[in-house]
Amino acid sequence: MTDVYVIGIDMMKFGRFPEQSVPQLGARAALLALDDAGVSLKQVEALYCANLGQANGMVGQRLLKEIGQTGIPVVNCANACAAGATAFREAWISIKAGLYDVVLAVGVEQMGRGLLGGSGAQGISTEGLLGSVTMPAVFAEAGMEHSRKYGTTFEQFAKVSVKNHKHSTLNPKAMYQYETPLETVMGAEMIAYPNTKLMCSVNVDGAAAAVLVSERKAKELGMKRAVRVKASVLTSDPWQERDLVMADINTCTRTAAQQAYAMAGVGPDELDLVELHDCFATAEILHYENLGLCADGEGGKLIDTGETMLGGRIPVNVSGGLLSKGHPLGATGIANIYEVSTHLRGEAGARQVEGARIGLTHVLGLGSACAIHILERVNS
Amino acid sequence: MELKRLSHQGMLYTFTIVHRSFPGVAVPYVSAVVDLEGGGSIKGNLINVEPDPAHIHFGMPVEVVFRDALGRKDAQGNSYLSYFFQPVGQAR
Repeated sequence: MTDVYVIGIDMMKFGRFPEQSVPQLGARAALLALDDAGVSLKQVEALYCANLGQANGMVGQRLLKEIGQTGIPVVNCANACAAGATAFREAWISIKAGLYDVVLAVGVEQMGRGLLGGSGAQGISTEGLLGSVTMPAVFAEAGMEHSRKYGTTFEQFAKVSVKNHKHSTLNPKAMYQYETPLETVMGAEMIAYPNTKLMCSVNVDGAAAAVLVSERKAKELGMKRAVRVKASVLTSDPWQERDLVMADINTCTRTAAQQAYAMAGVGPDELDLVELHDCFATAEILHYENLGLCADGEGGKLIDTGETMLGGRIPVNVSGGLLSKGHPLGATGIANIYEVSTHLRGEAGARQVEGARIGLTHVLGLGSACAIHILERVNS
Repeated sequence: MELKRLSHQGMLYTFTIVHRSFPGVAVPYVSAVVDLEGGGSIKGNLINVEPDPAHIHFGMPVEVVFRDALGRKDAQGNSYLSYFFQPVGQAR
């Protein structure tokens, strides 16, 4: 089977664009990625498009109505917060299968403000009656499970947000670019203990896109800025005792990480940077351990020692993460791949991880879906 | 499949204190996951406790009590009963 390469990838600056339609936002990202690849839409043989808010709205086809209806197959893809990475992976699979040489993957989302989560209950609403199903509360309970096991503190969780906001000051495409000192994070409005408002990801509009190609096509177009996809893995959550009341975000990440490391033939100690799913500050510490960046129980220590800061042993979320770059659900999976690819290409400017050779992206859709990609620089 | 009666006794596995919920939902309240004696985990509100992390402890024994569902009624005007958790040793 052919190796698969990212030959073009880009994202728009995340923000709020109520005057634009979802397909328009997606089309913008698609054109950015095609320009980056130096490829015309006419060369694209298939499109995989991720979006949640209009999951039954044929967003991929409508996107092509904005920039060119070439008649190619279009698959619209929803998989909670793993939707973008799932679209990217479907593009990867189609090239691996030998069907196509040039495939476009787009992730796009337009978000409202406020809390995510929903009961869908009939009868009476159960929110605030049978506990909470808001996302901040669900991920707070997962974080508190970690506190229960290892004594992880509110302050340690808050430090994740301090770090990621600091990183975002170096990323012009992040929604926010300002620092949030520890006392500001801990003193912000409490949403669901221990997650304060600044420890919740930002609801923003945004889009990201990638052009994936076969090895043959990559050689034809030029390997200079190509990024090799070393591993692409998608998992769901296996049965757990508390499944009915606690979505398991850990096991599917652990199995995905094990499979990805095996597929890529690398271990976590060989990674130069990681973009992981910090939908809430509590989640990042759990995923340090789930991805094997440290031993179980050492996640709190990893944030304390600054090893996941830019310049540290294993920088995590140098983009600013979902906490500060923003989290347009369907776009996030591809935006994470954009961030790692940009470092592997040596084009990340002020936030460049020096000499980055291998990076990992992780997204987690509650319900659950976990997608991990391991990417490698081609030119050394 | 067979019906199984779950215990009314359990212990607090994990929790969060919700300070912001959907519009109209009274806050703060404690959202709790409880492991029941003899098996089964359920999620609900932990009541009759200060909504303060200093007053809530992992593993604390709790019991299941039944109350009106906070006055909520469905579209037909029906009232509901719900379960809640409270620390053991309080009036049921």
